[in-house]
Amino acid sequence: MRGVGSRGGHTRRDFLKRSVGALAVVGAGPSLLTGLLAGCGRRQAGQRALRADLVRGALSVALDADVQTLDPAMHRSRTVEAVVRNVCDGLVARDAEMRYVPQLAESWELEGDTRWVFRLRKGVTFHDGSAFTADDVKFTIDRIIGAIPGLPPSPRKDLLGPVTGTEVLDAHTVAIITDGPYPILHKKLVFQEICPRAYFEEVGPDEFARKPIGTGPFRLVEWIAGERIVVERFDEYYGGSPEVPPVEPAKLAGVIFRPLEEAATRLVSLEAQEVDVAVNVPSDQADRVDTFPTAHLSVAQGTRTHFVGLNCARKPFSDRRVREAMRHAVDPKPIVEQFLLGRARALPGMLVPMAFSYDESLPEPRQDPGRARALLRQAGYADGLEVTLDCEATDKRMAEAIAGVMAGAGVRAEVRVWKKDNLLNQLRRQERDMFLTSWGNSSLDPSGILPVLFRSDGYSNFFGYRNGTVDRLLEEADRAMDPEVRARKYVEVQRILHADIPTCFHFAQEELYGVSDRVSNFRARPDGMLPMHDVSLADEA
Amino acid sequence: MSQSVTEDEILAPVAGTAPGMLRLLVGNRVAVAAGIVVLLFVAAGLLAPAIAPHDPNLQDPSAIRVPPFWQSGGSSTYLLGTDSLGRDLLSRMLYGARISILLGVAVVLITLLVGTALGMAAGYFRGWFDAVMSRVVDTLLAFPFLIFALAIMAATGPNLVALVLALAFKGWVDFYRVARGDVLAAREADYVAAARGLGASTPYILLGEILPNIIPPLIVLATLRMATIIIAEASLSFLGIGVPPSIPAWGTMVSDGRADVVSAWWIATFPGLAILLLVLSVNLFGEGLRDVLDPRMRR
Repeated sequence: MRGVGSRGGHTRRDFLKRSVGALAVVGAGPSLLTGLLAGCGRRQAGQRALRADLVRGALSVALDADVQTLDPAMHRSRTVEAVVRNVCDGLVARDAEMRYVPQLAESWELEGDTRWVFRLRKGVTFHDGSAFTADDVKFTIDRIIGAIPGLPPSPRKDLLGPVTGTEVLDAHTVAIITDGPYPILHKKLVFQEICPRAYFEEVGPDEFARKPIGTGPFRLVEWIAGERIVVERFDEYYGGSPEVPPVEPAKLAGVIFRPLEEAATRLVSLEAQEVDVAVNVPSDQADRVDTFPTAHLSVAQGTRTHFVGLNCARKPFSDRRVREAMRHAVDPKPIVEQFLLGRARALPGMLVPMAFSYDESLPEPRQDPGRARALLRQAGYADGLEVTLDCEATDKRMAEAIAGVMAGAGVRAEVRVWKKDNLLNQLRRQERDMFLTSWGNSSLDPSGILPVLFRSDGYSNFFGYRNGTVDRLLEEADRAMDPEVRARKYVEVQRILHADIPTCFHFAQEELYGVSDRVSNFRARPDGMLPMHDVSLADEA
Repeated sequence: MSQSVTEDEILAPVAGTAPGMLRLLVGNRVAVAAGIVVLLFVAAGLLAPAIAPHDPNLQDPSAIRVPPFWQSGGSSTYLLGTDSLGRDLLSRMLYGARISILLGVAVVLITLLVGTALGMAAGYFRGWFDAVMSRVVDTLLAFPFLIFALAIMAATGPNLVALVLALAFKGWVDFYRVARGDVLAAREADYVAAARGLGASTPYILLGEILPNIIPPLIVLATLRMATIIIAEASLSFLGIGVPPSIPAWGTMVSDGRADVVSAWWIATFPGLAILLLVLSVNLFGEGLRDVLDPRMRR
């Protein structure tokens, strides 16, 4: 529709962009096939040039993954969320310091333990000009919890925990009802973006997934799979949360998101000034970005905990002494220093320091090969232990580093690499003994990581871990409306987990972004979101 | 490359003598040079444990991404530099030669044996066996090899047995087609008729009369297949689903070094060059061999 661009669009910059794209195809190893397929579509896409004003005023972001949908309710992908968050606002948002701020909600209050009443902002319109009302909130929540018959179930349902329904009180007041107390509902609402009922019902779910509209600072112009997602400024934007100034429409003319899955390609593109922001810079490449004359590094503490999991239900790790030996066999701190060049932080347990109820009293891990050997001897492995360390391809280097250090404690760990989904399925079936994996928890609340991994019936209990006390404490914490009571329960869980050792070798990597010097106001965020509302570009000299 | 030896290239019984052929081969300088390079690689692989300066899996955290010795920052401890885990590249290259050649030889031998046996049986006995086998072969030929190998390896995870089977799965088809074609021609030849007339048994005719006469093109094909297998193994390892990570392999090394290719070019470049050099040499040697063994190429 808007594609009829000027011929002048085919500039050197354009040509360079395509060359980089071609490079991506050549360089893409694991994505060789997808790369080739994308390459076929690329030529077609190139013919549809972008509007010249959008190309000039837009900021270009290199994403590390492609998106499969743009429907806010139908994904579990941080990439989709980061893109869609610019198009669709939520009731609640987080600022750069990860403080919770009202966005489309003006305020909220609890009636009893299970009824949350949200007062909505007035005078807000969707990109098609229709007004935002309580009905849209009802529609959005109902769709996610599966309360609208005939629509496919949403993979984001569990992010709303025990929400059972909604109630429109008037055009700008809505109640959300939970089954039992759910103290963190407002925190969980940052993961849900409000969709317009009328537009959705008019175009249907498939078209909505291709071209969603929202109340956000940018509206979608086009999405070409494997190539780019283009959004432009929505001039009637209400300004976003009043607690995050400035409250006005976005400064950028638009944003162009490009999936460049290879880290090397993203960095080359940043260096060549073909993109302004490159997400997910590998730790060991970070120093290189600082050598670029026109770009710098933006750093945030990560929220994803990497860890070595041990299967407590199978030999050899059913013996607690063997698990403890693993803790002494390898210490994350020196490995993180040497192999991730300090771009990560060793942790005593599963929670990152930013997280709610992080227990500061847990002892730091210390490497002690002698103690590890002694424990193994007691457990009947006097000649050392032979194990397999399973991981997915992106963790291979770290797994090899761990295996290398473990050898010093008499543990011969053979690294085995799997495809991501393949490994995850095996872990869920509790088929692996020792594995390096990770769990993201951008909610920064223990409820997003501890129950799912460590409850006996946890969906991702990879460890065959069963502890009735932990189950009870987690259950109680889920229901406790008093934050201090919750925190106490979670601290106790952390201590039990530290004693039981279903996991060891915890660390969290920094989130690293390469950012062009012509970008101002962009900040790396722990939650991986890319809000572009306040970002601006210096004019090119 | 496999098109260079097709089933319609019907062979006359071998005329040349062994010393004569050797002289022809020596006369081909390119082939000789290529042969020497291949021998060097084989020697490097065989002797890796003796000549590698370091344990190929030993990590030196204080020497991560050390450049080769002639670059500033390089050291004589690590002649070709180290990778992103501080492992010695030269040692890994030597051990990498070992696994590449070992897998190449193993897979070629398996495919040669299976393909030749089935091909000869089909060509000699014809009948239902030939009909069934030919359909099987047509089906396999329509199968994208690398995708199949990817599927097997993704399902089993990297392990050597699965890797050999994945690589051998389709490789025997080429040998089958050559063997069958040649046997088809040979079974009508005078020397076979003569042997039959003299009352020779079928096994003797097949193994004693026909096999020696059809073996030269199969040897040429085996050499050329070897190059393909080495490339395929490297490709699978590059994709992270070939040789297990604990065994140094060139494909894995190229893949590991890919992210660093701008900042630490040596990690991916040396193993990449090794693959190039070995495969090129095997191919050139194989072509030299074909010039000698294939009578139609003889000048």
